[in-house]
Amino acid sequence: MSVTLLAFDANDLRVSMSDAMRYMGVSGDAPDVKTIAENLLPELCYAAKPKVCFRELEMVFDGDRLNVGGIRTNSEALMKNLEGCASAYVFAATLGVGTDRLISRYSKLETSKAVILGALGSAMIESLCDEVCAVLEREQQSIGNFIKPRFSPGYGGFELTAQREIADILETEKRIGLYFTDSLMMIPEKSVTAVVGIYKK
Amino acid sequence: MFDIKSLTENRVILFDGGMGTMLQEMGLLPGEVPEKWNILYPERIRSVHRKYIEAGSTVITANTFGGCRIKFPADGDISSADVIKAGVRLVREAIAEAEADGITGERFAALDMGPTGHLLKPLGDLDFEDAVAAYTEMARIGEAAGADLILIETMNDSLETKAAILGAKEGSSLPIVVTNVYDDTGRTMTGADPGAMIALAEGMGVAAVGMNCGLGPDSMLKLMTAFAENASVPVVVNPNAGIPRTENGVTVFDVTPAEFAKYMRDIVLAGASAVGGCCGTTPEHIKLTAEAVKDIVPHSVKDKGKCVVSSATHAVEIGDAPILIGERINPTGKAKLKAALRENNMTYILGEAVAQAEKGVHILDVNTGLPEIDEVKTLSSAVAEIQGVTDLPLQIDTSDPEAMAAAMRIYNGKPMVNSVNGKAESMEAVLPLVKKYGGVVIALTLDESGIPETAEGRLAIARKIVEYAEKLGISRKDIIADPLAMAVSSDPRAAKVTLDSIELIRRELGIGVSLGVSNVSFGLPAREVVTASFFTMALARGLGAAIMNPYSVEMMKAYRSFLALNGMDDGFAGYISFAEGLPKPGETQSAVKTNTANSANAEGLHGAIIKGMRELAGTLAAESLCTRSPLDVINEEIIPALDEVGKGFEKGTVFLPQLLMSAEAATAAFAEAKARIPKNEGASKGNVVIATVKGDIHDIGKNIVRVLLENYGYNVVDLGKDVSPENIVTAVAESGAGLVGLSALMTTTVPAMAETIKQLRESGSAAKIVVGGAVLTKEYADMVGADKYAKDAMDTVRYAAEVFGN
Repeated sequence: MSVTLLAFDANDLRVSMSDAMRYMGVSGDAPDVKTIAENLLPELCYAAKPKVCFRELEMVFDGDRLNVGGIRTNSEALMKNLEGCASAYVFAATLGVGTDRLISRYSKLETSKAVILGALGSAMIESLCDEVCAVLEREQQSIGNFIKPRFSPGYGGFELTAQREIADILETEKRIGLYFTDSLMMIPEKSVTAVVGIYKK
Repeated sequence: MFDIKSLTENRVILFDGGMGTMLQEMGLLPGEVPEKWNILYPERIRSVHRKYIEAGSTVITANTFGGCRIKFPADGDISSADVIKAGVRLVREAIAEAEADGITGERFAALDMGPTGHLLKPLGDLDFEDAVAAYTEMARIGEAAGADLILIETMNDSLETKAAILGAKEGSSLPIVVTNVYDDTGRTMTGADPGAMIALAEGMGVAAVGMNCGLGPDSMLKLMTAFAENASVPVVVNPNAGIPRTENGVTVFDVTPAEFAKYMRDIVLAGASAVGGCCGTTPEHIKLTAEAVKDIVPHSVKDKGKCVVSSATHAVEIGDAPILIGERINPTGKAKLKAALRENNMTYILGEAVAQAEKGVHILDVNTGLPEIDEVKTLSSAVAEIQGVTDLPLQIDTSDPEAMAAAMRIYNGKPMVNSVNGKAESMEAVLPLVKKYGGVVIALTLDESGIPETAEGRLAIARKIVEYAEKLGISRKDIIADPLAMAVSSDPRAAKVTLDSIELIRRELGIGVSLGVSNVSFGLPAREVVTASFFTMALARGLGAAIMNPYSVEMMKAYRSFLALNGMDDGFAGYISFAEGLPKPGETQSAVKTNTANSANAEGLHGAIIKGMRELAGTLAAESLCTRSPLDVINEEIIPALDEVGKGFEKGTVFLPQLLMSAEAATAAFAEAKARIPKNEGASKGNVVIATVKGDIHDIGKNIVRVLLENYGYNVVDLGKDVSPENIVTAVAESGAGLVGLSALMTTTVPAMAETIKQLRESGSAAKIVVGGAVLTKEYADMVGADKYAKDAMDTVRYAAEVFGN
């Protein structure tokens, strides 16, 4: 079981404008913001270089603990999510440092656009994760299995430190340019790590 | 001694292949640190080296890739220094054993320096100097252990590459080979193309450049043109054996040794002088490659003679087609910029950088020289900040060698440097910096006896500087002469002498010529007219670069016309797009603006701010200020509009992006008003220090707070992101701030916030402390000992009013 690499064209990712508006706290009608967002999207697509890597890991339930290829957790929510699975995918996805550069540039010059680009970036990485899960689902469906919804560190008691472990297993620094600070922040900012259970028939 | 140029004069030399794949076959587990095997299983490492020697490798790479102290685990009984020493020693031993066994041939031990595993600031959290220090230590240990060269490889960031080269130079005197990782679009992870990396590496004096890892040989072959056209040193190519994939549970690489060798032959025919392999390649790949290239004489390595500077992403050549250097970031005669520098207002400077880039300049001059500020600090920080917002190469412009050295050191790329002159003192101070850090330097044709009155005299000084530089090992292609445009009003012959000098210097020395053109019209009315004509004349005589004002339409007309008339504008695309932006006959520029803004005009400045229309707000403020006092405009128009938007935000009828758009419009209006307020009037409402705490590298939220606080009249000292408690304490003491704003985004950085507050209290500061950020809550705020939790930026503004009583 080795690591698989995927690269996407940002223009092919469907970015949900309504999600983006929600991320920036817009709850009602704001056509001016929406227009600016639509005009900024091509800039984001130009800057983003979406990359993904994943691999399948064996999984062991060990009493009240779960061990996914060496990543140990006692998150009940994750155990419930992975119930009945014998293995799981771990994946890491990122939009690349070009996105960080773009947002940082605007945050110094036109903060309003940085906020809008940040929200668009979040919507884009969500869309990228959906694409990844679609790929994983196809891979498993072809051999008659199902996959579970993705589950990321930092949620439901799944320790934040696990994202670093996932990254080490996948060698994300080398493969997709995903780094961590000592305080466990991901660089590039628009990045996600996750576990996806494989349910075998 | 490892002299790659003479080694590859008549034959191709072989580097070795993958180490990781070989060690995995011997039992290295995933996650295990390969460098530790230098100590644990030296015989296995030596055996891999031996196989590559037998396969025909001339350069044997020590197993020290991840051995630098930043990447190497600090825990445990094996130290970074020990694995580096052992790594080099094992190569030496393998070479000696092979010789003893009668395997002839010259071989060299390479100290391998890979990435630190951290991304450098500002994108990441590793300080540039920390990276340099780690590489310096590694190079020193490696040289002492007997390495013949340093191989800096698998670098995917230009700034980290620079840190590694600098470390290699400061820690050793070994020849340096640099290879970067490119993707199939031909760019590194942080966006550099081969031209940019070649400029940076060659500028710093490396022995060879190239690429490794990331791609298979087929994709690298496609990138060879860029190397063959630009490199003046031998090119080294070490591809992967294709892309790894799984077959029946076993990892395989899809390029077989025979296919690999065939591609490597093509890569050599395309211009590589030395080849080897990276991930997935084996002694078999190297052996077949050695056979495939053994009869080929590599392309002879010629100095391409190109004068290039570079940014983090691309190179700019100062060659036949003249280029523009934007002069606007220079405080001389610019009151607004002087004020910005004194107040450490980077936003203004960054705005100037972006605006000039939009006008189409190729390089930006950066001069922050003011007698009352610390230029060493300001110039470096301006250079770093400007590189964060634009991809243009910069011209580091200062008369202070210390400030020049500091800025050249941290500059991401190969900078232009302004300037050196013919005085012994200047040459002694500036040229060694060019040698060390790389750069293209402007050579002013003046010396101890002043500025010669003849073209021949100026040529003589240019020649003196070129000869001095060449003695230091700086190629003359990295010198650009500036024969000095003098005011024609004080000497009618001045322009002619300068123009003659351009031609004479180019012809006699074969180097490029640049001018600061504006000086020529000093003392005359309608200066632009004269300057632009002089510019055209200079271009016609062979001017390669001009330091000029890109906002001057006359200058841009001269430049665009020259390129079009001189066959340097393909399909007139540049000229046509420039011409489209010119005002139509009978239409003034302000008329254009007013037309487009008519709809919102009716609601006046107030409406423009509410609607967040930045340009219109600036224009309308300027109009209002013709008839009203600045304080009236601020108090009766700008502030009420801002208040209305702020209240709307608090009620939930205005959203964050809209609040910010209004704030930006208000900022534009304020700028107009403030420019007309005499000093000391309309003083600040209070000093506020803001920062994102140590370990936290995102700062949008903090920037939002800054924009709003400034709008409401506070003087904000913005310390940036990832700021240590000590620096915050110092800044609060120095500024006498009454309020400190701290931001944290992650639960993991909340402890740094607590530590900062603790140190602030211990320092005896009476400043109130407000905290905010993604993970913060009232409970967290209480826990870390803050005075106030602000749920958003407006909340901070309201708290500031409470603290300062205004």
